Amino acid sequence: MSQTSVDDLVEARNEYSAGFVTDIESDTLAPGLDEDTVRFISARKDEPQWLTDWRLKAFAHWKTMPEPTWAHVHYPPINFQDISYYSAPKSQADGPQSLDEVDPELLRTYEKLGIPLHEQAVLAGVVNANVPQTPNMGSNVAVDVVFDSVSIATTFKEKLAEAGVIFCPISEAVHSHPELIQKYLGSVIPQKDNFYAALNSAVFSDGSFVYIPKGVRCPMELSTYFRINERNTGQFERTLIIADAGSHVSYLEGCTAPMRDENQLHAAVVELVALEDAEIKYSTVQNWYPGDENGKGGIYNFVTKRGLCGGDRSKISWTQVETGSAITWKYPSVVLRGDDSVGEFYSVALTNNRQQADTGTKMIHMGKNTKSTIVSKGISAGFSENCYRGLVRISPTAENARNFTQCDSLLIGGQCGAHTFPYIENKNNSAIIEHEASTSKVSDDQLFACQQRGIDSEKAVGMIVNGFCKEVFRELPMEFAVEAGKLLEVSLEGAVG
Amino acid sequence: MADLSLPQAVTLPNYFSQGDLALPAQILDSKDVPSALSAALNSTLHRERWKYSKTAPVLEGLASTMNLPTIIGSEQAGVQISQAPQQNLSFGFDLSQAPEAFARLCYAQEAVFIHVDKALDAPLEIHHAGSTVPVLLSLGANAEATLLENFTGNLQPQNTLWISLAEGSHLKHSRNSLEAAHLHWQYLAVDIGKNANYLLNNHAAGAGLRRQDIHIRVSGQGANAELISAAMISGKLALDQQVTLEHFVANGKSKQVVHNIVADGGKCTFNGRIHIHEGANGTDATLANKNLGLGKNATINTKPELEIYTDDVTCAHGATIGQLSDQELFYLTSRGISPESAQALLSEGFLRQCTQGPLAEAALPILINAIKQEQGA
Amino acid sequence: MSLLEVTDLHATVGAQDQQKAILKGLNISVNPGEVHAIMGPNGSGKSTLANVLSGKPGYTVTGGTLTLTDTDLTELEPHERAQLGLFLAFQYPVEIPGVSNMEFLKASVDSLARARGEEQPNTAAFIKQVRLLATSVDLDPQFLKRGVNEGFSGGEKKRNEIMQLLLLEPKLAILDETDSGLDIDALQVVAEGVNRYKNEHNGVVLITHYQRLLDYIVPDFVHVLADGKIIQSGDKSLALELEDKGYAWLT
Repeated sequence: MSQTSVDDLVEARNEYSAGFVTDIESDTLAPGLDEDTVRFISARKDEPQWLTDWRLKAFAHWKTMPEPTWAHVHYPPINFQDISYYSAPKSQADGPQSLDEVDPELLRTYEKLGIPLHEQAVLAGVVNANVPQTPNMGSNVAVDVVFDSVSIATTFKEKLAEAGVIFCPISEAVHSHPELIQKYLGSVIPQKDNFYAALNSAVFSDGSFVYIPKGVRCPMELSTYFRINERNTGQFERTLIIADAGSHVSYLEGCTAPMRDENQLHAAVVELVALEDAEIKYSTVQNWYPGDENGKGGIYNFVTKRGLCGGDRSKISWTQVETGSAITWKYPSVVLRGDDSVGEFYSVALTNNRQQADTGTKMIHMGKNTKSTIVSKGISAGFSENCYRGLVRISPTAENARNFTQCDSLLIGGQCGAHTFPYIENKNNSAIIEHEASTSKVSDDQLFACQQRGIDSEKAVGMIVNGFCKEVFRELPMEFAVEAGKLLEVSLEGAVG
Repeated sequence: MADLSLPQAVTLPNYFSQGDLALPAQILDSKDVPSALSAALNSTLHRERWKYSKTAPVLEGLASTMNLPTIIGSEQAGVQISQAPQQNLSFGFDLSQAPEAFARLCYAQEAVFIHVDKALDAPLEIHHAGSTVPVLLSLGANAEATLLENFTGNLQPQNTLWISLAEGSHLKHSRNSLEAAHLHWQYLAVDIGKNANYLLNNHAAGAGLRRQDIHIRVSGQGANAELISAAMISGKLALDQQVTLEHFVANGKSKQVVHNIVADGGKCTFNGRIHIHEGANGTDATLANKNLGLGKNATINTKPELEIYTDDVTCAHGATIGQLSDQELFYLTSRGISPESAQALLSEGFLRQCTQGPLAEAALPILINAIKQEQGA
Repeated sequence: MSLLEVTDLHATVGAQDQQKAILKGLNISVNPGEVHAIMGPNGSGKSTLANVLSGKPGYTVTGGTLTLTDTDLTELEPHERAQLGLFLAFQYPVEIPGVSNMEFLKASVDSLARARGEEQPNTAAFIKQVRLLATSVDLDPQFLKRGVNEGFSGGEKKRNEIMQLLLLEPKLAILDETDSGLDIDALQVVAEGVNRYKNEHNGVVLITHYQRLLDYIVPDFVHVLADGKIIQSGDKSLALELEDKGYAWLT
């Protein structure tokens, strides 16, 4: 029996590295939610009447819907009237013309987070500046940064414009490309889909809009950083990505948030549409504040993400590494409507201390010869609860569907929980479906073997966990793969035991 | 969604109020039987377990007339039958799993208590014709028995059986549920004590709806549970199997192998939930559910669930849905066997892997014949 | 009349839009009483030939002819070819738990008898025959109760194939790398079985990578298959030359 057994390794958590607050003036709406709130938000963004009506319709639905309670998570009831639904830093009132016009505090915030805004000449109108590399992101990543509900800057606009790629805030797209918004907004996730989607549809503030024209391979990876700054501000991001026939895009989503005492709600909606022969790869490295070791504070991440493989031979891949949030409730899904379409879901979800996660995916097979792959790796430590909930549904029209699912759980310590709730519903027997799940632990023997060869326990656990997640990390774009590994190590530092 | 409710008021049988049997925790907590039952009926867990089948018809039939089952082998030494429990036994009543079963226990005017206190020479047989009163079977320390169960009745039979296995006891249980019925509900709960062993060979055919609720509790250290099930669901028929296997203590072992064949137009639901509680270290639990569809329009729902609250476990489950293997078909046809015969051989072989025990001989021809009907058509 | 007549055979493998040409004009003729060995480097098409002859799904004949005792095989299903007297000993025999070896053999023998218009063999006699044959290839008859090939080692699986050969008495036996993975003892048992089977009325096609098997089962003809065609034929000395010089010498 090794001296330093797994149980002896519980230590105080390192201070959350992004736990600081930016102190700038903010244009914040008073807490509360009613029709006027919705109109206010719409007016602030100068939206056309059809969109205001769309929001109001969603709000009317939301008022009639009950909060979902079936997830394997427990939290104190949310008072939706106690949240402010809009906040934008004042200096954005008229929009920046150049970096000089952007609040310097803001820019300092982004520097801390490693966003290359200041180092690369990116803002509209600022061209021909020197562009050094940054360690966090390659120079080939276009960044659309969202700071408390308003997109601050969009980089690389010109390079993308050359290719015909549209990558801008959704608030902008509403004016510049209303026909695309009208056609596709709510087409994958209808307003009534669920409680939080309805809420988002009513009060969404901003988010990314991406359109890749026919046959275009987006020349760079697209990325968005999120940040929640103000107290009691819910983040209601809305992202819409459309890949037209034969196009290809890779999109990265990564988030950080400051330390807070009150729980903060994050109810985003992400819709992906892939037409014939198109491919969308959506990667997330999520690092929302998870709450302290006693379970206080932390973000509630209740997100609805869904992709529609509308055209034949289209493909949508979701890859995620989730280590943050106090409570996570999300099921990135793919509807495989086109024949020969492919859906993939690769996920690492880590919970520690008192975090709770109920996440997974839904693969809905409708077309012929569709294929889905699910690889889910759950790591539980501390007193956390980590659930995989998946649905594989084969409709009667889905000839020759194929699904392979692998859910593995790694438990660290005897007080955490790892659960698997896979639903497989098959109505067409030409399908072949395979589901496997296994549970393992970081054993004392394994740790001792590493230590005997000179590797310290924390490093050993890191190695074992990384090995466990290899299959998923392989799917991440390079920029994220490095971040992901580091993120796991940091997240496990607090409670390896 | 409308709330579920029981058909009439419930009164606790004497053996609870007299303290012969322990009440479920939920009732002790709430002290009010109707509200405890209502809470359990309308809980998320309960709704999930009835996701693919309608609850109302079963609830409506809970209080209807019940006969006594026919019991063979009760005269042998070591068996006592009575209308009241003999000792303070642990049947593991748990409202969260199946409140309707507990309600039925209350509605029944009587129950049959069978107690086995040694290794029996001959098997015990229970024959259920139509709806029967609840049966509660207990094995004393180191007792051993073989239990054979048969079900007949084509309307809406309901049958419930609770089993308690004391330290070191062994029970081999076989049951054939093969007759067509409009709606057949079977509830089985087994509480396995320290170093005790339980084996269930379950053979089933589809019915208008046949619902098998099985709740196995590995309650004592070193206890062992095994469930082997083979079922054939023909067109227009349905089978809904809800199995919960709980490990409460250390060093328990469980193994489940469930093979289902579903024909065109048939519907099969399998929910295998393994729940490993905190402190159940050294548990070894496996579940393999294989589903074979004949023809394209079979509905197969499978949900192998895992709820694990401790890290020192070996746990794996797998579920597959598919058709017969091309490789295997080719091997047979390359030896001159016609494709139809090859399909039949392989389908039968698939079921045969899980048709075991004393009632296998009676079950196999019926199941195989059902396959032949579907394939010959 | 020849047993097997293959003329200018072209065949592809793969799904409709992804077919790959493997056999590119193969010719071979086997008369009754002959043993032919087909050797060749990896990727030459040896297994494809075996699969195409037996009718395995996934392969398409795109040209040429293929007959067994003058009957065109190309449109026939695998079980129909077997009923005509064609037998394939698999390179990797599959396991089928749940279907017992005995049941499988009985079904096969009955189907073949039916196809020939013969009476199905008496069960007791059949069981006796099978047990004897099992013992003759060094297999404990207990295995007959187990699932097909269940729990068998590689060598045991191959011996099971040879036992089936002896039981079913086909007109033409194709052995697909039956010697691969066998130790010397197993090899000798296999060879003895094949030699016991062959007579002046039937034919054997041995597909093999190594010369070794041919020490025990002496071929009348040796053919070298490379890139989908027979590029050289000779007698057993050709095999020895190949062992000496390697395939590169010819290709």
